[in-house]
Amino acid sequence: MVQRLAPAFLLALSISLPWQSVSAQFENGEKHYRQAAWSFYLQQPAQALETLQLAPEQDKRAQLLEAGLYLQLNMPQHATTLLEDLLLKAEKDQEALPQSLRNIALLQLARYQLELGDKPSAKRYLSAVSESDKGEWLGQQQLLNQLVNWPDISIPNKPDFTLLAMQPEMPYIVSNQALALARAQKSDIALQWLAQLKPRLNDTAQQSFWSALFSGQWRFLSQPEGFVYPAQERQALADYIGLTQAQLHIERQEFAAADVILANFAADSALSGTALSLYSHILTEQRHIPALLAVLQQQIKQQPFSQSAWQAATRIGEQLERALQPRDALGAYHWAEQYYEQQVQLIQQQARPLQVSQLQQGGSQWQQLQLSSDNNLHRLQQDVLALQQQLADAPIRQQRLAQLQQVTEFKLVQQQQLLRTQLPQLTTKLQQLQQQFSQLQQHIELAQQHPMDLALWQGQPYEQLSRLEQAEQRLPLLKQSGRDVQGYAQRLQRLRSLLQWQYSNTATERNWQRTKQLQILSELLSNTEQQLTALTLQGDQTARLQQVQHQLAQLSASQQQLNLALLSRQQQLLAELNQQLQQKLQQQLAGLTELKRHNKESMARVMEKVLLTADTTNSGATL
Amino acid sequence: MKSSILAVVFSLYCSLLHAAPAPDFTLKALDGANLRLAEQRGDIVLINFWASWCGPCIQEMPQLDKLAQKYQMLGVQVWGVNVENDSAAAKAYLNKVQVQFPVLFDTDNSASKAYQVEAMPTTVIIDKDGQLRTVHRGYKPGYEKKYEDDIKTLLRE
Amino acid sequence: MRTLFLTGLLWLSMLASAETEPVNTQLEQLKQQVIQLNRELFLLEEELLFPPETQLAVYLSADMGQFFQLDSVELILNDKPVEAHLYTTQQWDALKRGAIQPLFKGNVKAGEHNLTAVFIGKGPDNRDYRRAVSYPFTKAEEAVLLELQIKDRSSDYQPDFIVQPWSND
Repeated sequence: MVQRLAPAFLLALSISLPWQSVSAQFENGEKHYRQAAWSFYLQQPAQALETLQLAPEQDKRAQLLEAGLYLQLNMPQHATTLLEDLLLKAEKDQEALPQSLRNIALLQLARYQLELGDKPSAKRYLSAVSESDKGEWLGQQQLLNQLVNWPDISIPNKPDFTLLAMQPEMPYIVSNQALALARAQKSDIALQWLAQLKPRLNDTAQQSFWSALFSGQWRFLSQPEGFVYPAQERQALADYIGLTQAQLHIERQEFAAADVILANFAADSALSGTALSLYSHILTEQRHIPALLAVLQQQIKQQPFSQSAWQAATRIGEQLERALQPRDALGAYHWAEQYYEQQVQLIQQQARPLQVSQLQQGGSQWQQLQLSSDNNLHRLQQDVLALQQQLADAPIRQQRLAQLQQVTEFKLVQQQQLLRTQLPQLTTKLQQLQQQFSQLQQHIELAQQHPMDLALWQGQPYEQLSRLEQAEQRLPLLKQSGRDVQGYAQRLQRLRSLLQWQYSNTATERNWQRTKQLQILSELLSNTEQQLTALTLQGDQTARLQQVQHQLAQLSASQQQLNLALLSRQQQLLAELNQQLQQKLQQQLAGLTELKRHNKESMARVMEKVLLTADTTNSGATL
Repeated sequence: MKSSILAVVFSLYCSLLHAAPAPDFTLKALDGANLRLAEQRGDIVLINFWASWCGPCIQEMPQLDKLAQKYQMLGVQVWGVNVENDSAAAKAYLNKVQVQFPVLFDTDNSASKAYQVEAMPTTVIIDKDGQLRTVHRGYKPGYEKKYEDDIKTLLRE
Repeated sequence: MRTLFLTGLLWLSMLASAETEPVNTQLEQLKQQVIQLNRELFLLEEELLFPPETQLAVYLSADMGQFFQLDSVELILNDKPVEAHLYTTQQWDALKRGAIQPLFKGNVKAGEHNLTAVFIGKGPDNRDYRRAVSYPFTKAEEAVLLELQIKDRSSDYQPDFIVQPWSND
């Protein structure tokens, strides 16, 4: 019920989406809202809700959309909580929640309270609804007001056709007003109004696009021409109004007028049953026996397993009796007896306990009739089927869980490898290199303290210096052997000075080269160190992965529990449904038994008459 | 231990279910429009997988056309899905023999794979809730009566 | 259809059955648990299957869409086709009304990449239209989120195709 409002305001919300993106960067919430819109337009409310709830923050529009999605998913309590929260925040903040959105929330809440039977709360919410200048919600508002205040509804002097022209609820509002008028003994005015209403049913097809969603059909969202009342609904409305007119005529004893309407009533309307009953009522009053007989037979044919059909069966005989056709009446009562037998057989056959799969496909004819005509049963059926849908999704969830578990395991194995072999190896290697590097550095420093350390030379100067040093070392030996080394020593000294000069000249260049190379090495080392650190960080994911594993195991357990809960709930509901069906069966069997008894009595009574007449005729013949 | 038993029970329960959801797909039709199965929720959809080289498929076409026209107003759609990688021959055929219902082209065979189509033609019927209800493999004259019976049953639900 | 008439009067009889509440509460709670379960699953999938270090996600949106009607989009990543989508009228409508489509989600290595988006549709004069847009990008530590935008350029009644990166969620 509450669902019917939901698509409308969801669409209204979408209209308020900005057509122009204000800036290139979107707000986070906006992104989620628009992604949720994608799922919403593709008629996947569960998906849309999921997306919406992942947003880090939600603005009021998103909250309203969430409420609407909950309604689509048939979760009115969650929707109500959100709406109330939204209104509360709006009150505290004084930040004007856009009027249209506020009205939407209030109307939804009012409607829900009505469904729960809490009229005072509904009234409270309704009274807080403000008149939006476009009057978009006028229809909803008026209708809800009617339902809340019934039967003391406000009745204008004339039907508000102009005011309500764009409202899809117009027919209901006006017909309710007519009914209220009839109750107030003004049935002639009521009839006038209804007569004015009937041709206007086609008018309401010209609606603004968004209010068309009151039909609850999302499909029409995508049609560019806009909403058109489905032919079915228009017809149903016309039927309803016709029937109401007929009822009023009957109250006023205007049987002829009622006759006109009922004689032409469609056979396949949802109200055909009521229409036929009314018709048979007035025909009985008017004693139009042949027509009445036809109607009774129609009832039996068109409404199998219904009270009206069963009662009609014995009434055929009764009417024939009334028409002083006892032989025909006897035949009819006989037929009725067999009919009752057959009905008992049939419904006992068809009333077997239902399985879920049968519920999906409707079950037997008798079962279908019970499910569609009783509110409780209907609701039970819907609930069982809703749970079925949830259960059908379970294997998919299971698969997702299994895949994630696989992936986590794989990653953990990777982690182990990383931690156990690769990382230690790399770390050792790096340490070795670093050690070598610092050794080299030390070595260089040491050598630099020496004025002309051999280590800091290379190439030709290195050879020259080493030969010089070798020669210098031989000097003391020569001196010992008594040679004159003065000149020699001087020459070596000069060589040394030359080399010294060369050394100083090239020192800067060589230093520079050395420093560069050291730097490159140092960079390489630090890069490698960084990579190693990064890898180590990755290796640190073990803890997180284990946590994820744990989480997955828990989710798996929850999933199992949830499935069980869903299943057991479904079984419970199914059992209740079958129990109620059995009760109905027993009731109907009892009723049929009673009718059979009554029929037998009538049959006996008529048989007497027939026998008497036969006797009289016989006796007449013999005399 | 307990949980695995329950899992078995649960899976048993699931296998008792009759209907399975029909795999969704979006394909391009002859007139250039893109049609998606999931958007037809609320209608009964009969999908006929066919190829231009398959005799019975060609034989079946006019029957499908008749069926389509007869049940159009009651919320029943007939879709032809051509499974050939090269749709030239099929389009040539459709040029000569025009049908009223949409013909879609599954050139990369994604849809026919999803429906495990092996025999030609294959006709599947999907109910108003998007559940796959019947599968008919092959075609012999008179099969169209079976399709019609299936449709009538589904309409009554 | 039933509900239609319940709006009128017969509905009032339903208001009496307020004891339906406890049943409905249970059902709703069960449904809520399913929703939460799905959400946790999704978050874990994001973390495990599409971690930010490798995640590439592409979205699609349309602004007005007067000058262009989208038929299909192809995504090519480093010369390899990774995604294709055919758009129905309903889907194009949704985009024009502000919806954003999650088009593609995958994993790429760190480094340089090139994404090409090919838009195929009908232009303002109902002619066939095909436009490719290339977008080179570098993948580092953070997830790469790209929005393909189809915008109307009123200056010359032609559509514009822009690749707009998102800052992080």
